[in-house]
Amino acid sequence: MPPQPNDRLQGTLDLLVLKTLASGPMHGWSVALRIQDVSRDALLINQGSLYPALHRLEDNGFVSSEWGTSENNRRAKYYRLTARGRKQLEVETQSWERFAEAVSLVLRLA
Amino acid sequence: MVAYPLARFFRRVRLLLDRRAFERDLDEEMRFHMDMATARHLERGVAPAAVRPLITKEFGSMDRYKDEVRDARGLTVSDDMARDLRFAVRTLRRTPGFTVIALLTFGLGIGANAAIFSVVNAVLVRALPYPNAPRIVRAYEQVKGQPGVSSVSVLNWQDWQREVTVFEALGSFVASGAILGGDAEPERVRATYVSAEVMPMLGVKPMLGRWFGDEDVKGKQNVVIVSEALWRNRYGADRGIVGRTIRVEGLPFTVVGIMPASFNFPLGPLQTQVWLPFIPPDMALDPRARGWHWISVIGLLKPGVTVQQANADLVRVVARLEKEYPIAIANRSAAVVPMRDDVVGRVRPTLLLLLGAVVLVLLIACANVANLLIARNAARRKDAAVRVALGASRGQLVRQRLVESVVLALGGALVGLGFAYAGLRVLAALSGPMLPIVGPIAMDARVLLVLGAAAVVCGLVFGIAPAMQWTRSGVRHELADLTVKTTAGTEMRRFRSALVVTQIALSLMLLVGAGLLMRALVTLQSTDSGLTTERVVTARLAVPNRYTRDNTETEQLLGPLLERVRAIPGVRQAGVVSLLPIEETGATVSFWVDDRPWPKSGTEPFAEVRTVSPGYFATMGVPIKAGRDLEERDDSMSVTKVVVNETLARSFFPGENPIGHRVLQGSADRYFEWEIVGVSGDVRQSGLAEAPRVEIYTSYRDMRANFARGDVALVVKTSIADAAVVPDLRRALKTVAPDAALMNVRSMDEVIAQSLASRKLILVLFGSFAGIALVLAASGLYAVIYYLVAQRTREIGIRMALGADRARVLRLVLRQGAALALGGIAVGLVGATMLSRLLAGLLYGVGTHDPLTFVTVPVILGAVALVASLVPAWRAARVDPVVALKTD
Repeated sequence: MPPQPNDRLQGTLDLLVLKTLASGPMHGWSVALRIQDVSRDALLINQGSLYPALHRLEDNGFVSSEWGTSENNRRAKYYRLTARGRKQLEVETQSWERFAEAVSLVLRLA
Repeated sequence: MVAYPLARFFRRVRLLLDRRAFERDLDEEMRFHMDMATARHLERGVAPAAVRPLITKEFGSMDRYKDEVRDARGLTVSDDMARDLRFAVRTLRRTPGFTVIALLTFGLGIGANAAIFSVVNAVLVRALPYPNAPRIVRAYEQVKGQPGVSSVSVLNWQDWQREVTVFEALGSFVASGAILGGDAEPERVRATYVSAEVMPMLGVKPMLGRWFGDEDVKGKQNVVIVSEALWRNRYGADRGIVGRTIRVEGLPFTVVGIMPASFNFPLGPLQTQVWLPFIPPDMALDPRARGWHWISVIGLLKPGVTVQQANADLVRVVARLEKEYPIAIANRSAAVVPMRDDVVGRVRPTLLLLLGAVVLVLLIACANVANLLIARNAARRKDAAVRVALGASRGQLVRQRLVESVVLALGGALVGLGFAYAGLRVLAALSGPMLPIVGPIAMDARVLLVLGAAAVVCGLVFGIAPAMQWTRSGVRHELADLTVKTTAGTEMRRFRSALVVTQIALSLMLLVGAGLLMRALVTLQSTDSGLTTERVVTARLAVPNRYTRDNTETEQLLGPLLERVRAIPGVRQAGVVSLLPIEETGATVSFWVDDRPWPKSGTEPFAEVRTVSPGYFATMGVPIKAGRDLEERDDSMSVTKVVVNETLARSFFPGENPIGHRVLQGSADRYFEWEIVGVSGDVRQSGLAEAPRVEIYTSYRDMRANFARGDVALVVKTSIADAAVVPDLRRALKTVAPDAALMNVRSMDEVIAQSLASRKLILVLFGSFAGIALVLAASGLYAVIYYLVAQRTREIGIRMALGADRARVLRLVLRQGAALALGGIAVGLVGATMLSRLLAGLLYGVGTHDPLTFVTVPVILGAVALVASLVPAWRAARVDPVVALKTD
C-alpha cells in the first residue's frame, strides 16, 4: 500500500508530529514543546492528544520508539522517524499544501 | 510495502502478549510528560497549588488519552474479545451439566467428521507421492462401446511409444512376485517389473545407487533395485549391498539401487520390495501376441498437455494401428486416465458417500446443541434482562452468546479430536488393505485446519438462533413482569420444533441407508456361491520362476505335491486352480463354438478361464452336472479337453448336450480347438454380488492351454479341523520344492468373508453414524417435549383442575411428540428415497425401494420417538394442580 494522506483532522496533528520528528529523535514532551514554540502557542491542542497520535504513527510504522535517557537523567521514550514515515511526511505535506491552496483560493474568489 | 499489514499484525500481537509491560510503559511515558510539565511550571514561578489544575487543563484527561492510545494500537478490540472469552468460559463452567453434554454431542459429531475427512484427505486430496504426480497418467486398451478398460499388449505399447506425441515418456510395468534366495532363507517378495522409463518418470531418486538404464532393459546383465524396507530387514541396512550380487529366482542379480522408504510404486497398501527391469519375453513380441493384454502402461504427459488431448492423440494412433492390424486390434480403442483416478477412482464414490453421511451427523449434532443452548438461555432470561437494564446493548449480548457458542464448538472440536483419533485407529484396523492408501492416514495440518474452520462455522451456525433470542422484544419485560409469556417464546418453540423435525428426518435417512446396506449384506451372505466351502483350506503357492521357465511346473511341482497332499491323513481331496474363485478374477479369452459362422471380428464372446487340476471340483464342492471331471491323462498329447460351466452350456448349447462339442479359442483366422468333456455347476467367480459368467476350465497337464503359469492357489478339503493339516502341507511342499512357499493360508469361508469385508466396513460406519444420529435426534425430541411440559405446567394444572384426567394429559403431550416425529419421518422418507439412489451401487439384491426397510425403519424411529416423549409426558400427567397454579 503506498502512503496515503490521512483523514484531515487527525491527519493534521499527525503531520505536525511527523514534521517535528523530522529534525531528529525526541520524546513526547519535547514534541509538545516544539509544536507549541514553533506555532507560537497559536495551536491550542491538548498535549495529551499527542500520545494517541504518536502511537498511531508507530502502529503504522511511520515512527519507531525506544527507551532512552532524558536531559535530566530520567527514562524517557524517544520517537524516531522511519523511512516509511519520511515518505508519509512528503505525501502529507503536499496534500496539506494543496488543501491550503484550495481553501485560500476559495476564500479569495468566493 | 505490501508486507506492511503483516508487520503491524506482529507488532500488535507482541503488545498483546505483554499487556502489562505495555500499560507500564504507557503510564511511565505520560507520567514523564507530567513531571516535565510540572517542573517547567514551577520553574516559571507558578504556585505549587496551581500547577496540577493547569497541567490538567493543558494535557486533558490522561485516562481518555490512554484509551485512545489503546485504540490506536488495536488493543480495544482484543480486550473486548478477551472479556467475552472470559465471560463465555465462566458461563460454561457455571452449568457443567449442559456444557459436558454439549461438548460430547458436538465432539461426537465433529470427531466422526474429522476421522472420515482424514481418510478422504489421505486418499483423495493429498498429492500422490511423486514429484511429477500431476502429469502422470495411465493408458489402457478398451473395447469400443464397452465399459471398462483392459491392460495393454507389449506390441501395442511399443507402437504407442513410437507414434504418440503427447507423452514425454511412456513406460510399462507388471506387478508380480519373486523369490529371493542365496544369501539367507528363501523369501517371497513383492516384485514389480518396470521398463526403463518408469522410475525417471516418477521422479523419485534412489537413496543409494541408480535407476535402471536402457542397457538394463536390453537384458545385458541381471540387475535389481530394492526397497528401503527390504534393505533394512533382509540386508541389515548395509550400504555395501549396492553393487553386490543377490539371488532372485535362483539367478544372480546385481543390486544397483535402493529406493527411499517413502517410495511406493505401484501405489497400494502393500509396498513393492524389489524392482526388476521389464524385459518383454520373446513370446510377447510374436505378432500373434498383439491380442495378449497383460502389461500396465504409465505415461508422463509433456508439460501443458491435458489428459483430454493425450486421450485424443492415443485414440488417433490406435485407429491408425487398427488399419494395419485389422484382426488383432479390431473394434478396440484406448483411454488415458489420470494416475489418481486409476488408484482411487473405485473408492471415491464410497468415500464421498460416507463423508456425506457423516456431515448429516454433524448437522444433527449442531441442531442438538442449538436446542440445548435455547433451553439453557431460556433459564437465563432474567440474567440477560438484568444486563440489558444495566446498559448492555443487544449487540453486546448477541456477541457474547456467539463467542460462547464458538468457544463451545472449539472445545467440542478438541473433544472430537480424541474421538477422531480413537475412531481412526479402529478404522485402520477394520479397513486393513482395503483402502488404496496413497500415504498414511493421519490428522495432518490440513485436517486440523478444516476441523477448526468447521468448528467455528458450526459454532456460529448453532449459536446464531439462540443468540438472536436476545434481540427479540421481551427481554426488557422479564424484569417488569416475570410471568409474561412473550411471543418470542412461541417463535423459539416453533424454531426448536423445526430443529427436531430436521433431526428426525436426517436420522431417518441415515437409518434407512444403514438398513438397506444391512439387507444387502444379509442377502449376499445367504447367496449361494456355487461352492461348498466347509472345511476347505486355501493357500497361495509361490512357484519359483525356474519351473515356469522350463515348463516343468505341473510335472515337477504341482503333480507330485498334490500326490503327497492327498496322502496326508485327514485330507479328503486336493487340487490347484490358477485363480481362486470369489477373490481372483481377470483371465479371459475370446472364443466361439463348433462350425457356426464366427461373429464379426472384435465382437466375439469372452469367457473366464481357469486352469485346474483334476480333483479341484470335488475339493470345492462344485458339482459336475454332465460328462466328467478333467483327468491327469488330459495332457498335451491329444485334443485339448475342457470343462465348461452351466452358463456357457445354457447360452451356447440350449437344449443340447454340450459334451463332445468344441470350443474354438481365438479369433476367426486363428484359433485353438478345445473339446468339451464335462459341464460344471456355476460358481460366482468374481464375487458374491456378481452373477456367474461364462467360464471354461482347462487342465494343468495341457501345456497348450495352461493359464496357471506362476503362482497358483492350492485348495484342500479335510475331514478333520482344517488348520490341523497346515503343518503337513508345508512339510509336503518342502519335500517337493524347498524353494517354493505357501502363503496366505486361509479357510475358503474366510476368503468369502474377506470378499465382503469392505461392504461390512461401509455398513459398520454407516450404521454407527445412523446410531449416533438416532440417539441425538431422540434426545433432541426429549428435550423439546420436556421443555414444553415445563413451560405448560400451569396450563396443565388448570386443565386438571377443570377435570381433565391424567390419561388425557398424557395424550395431550404425547400428541405433541407424535406430531414432531411424524413430521420428521415424512420429510425423512423423501430424503431417504434420494439417498438410497446414491447407494444403489451397493444394494445387491435389495433395490433402492426395499419395502421392508422403508417400513421397519420409520416404525423403529417412531417407537424411539414415543419413548423419548413418554418420559416428559409422564411427568406432565403427574403434575399436581395445586402446586402448578401456585408457582409461576
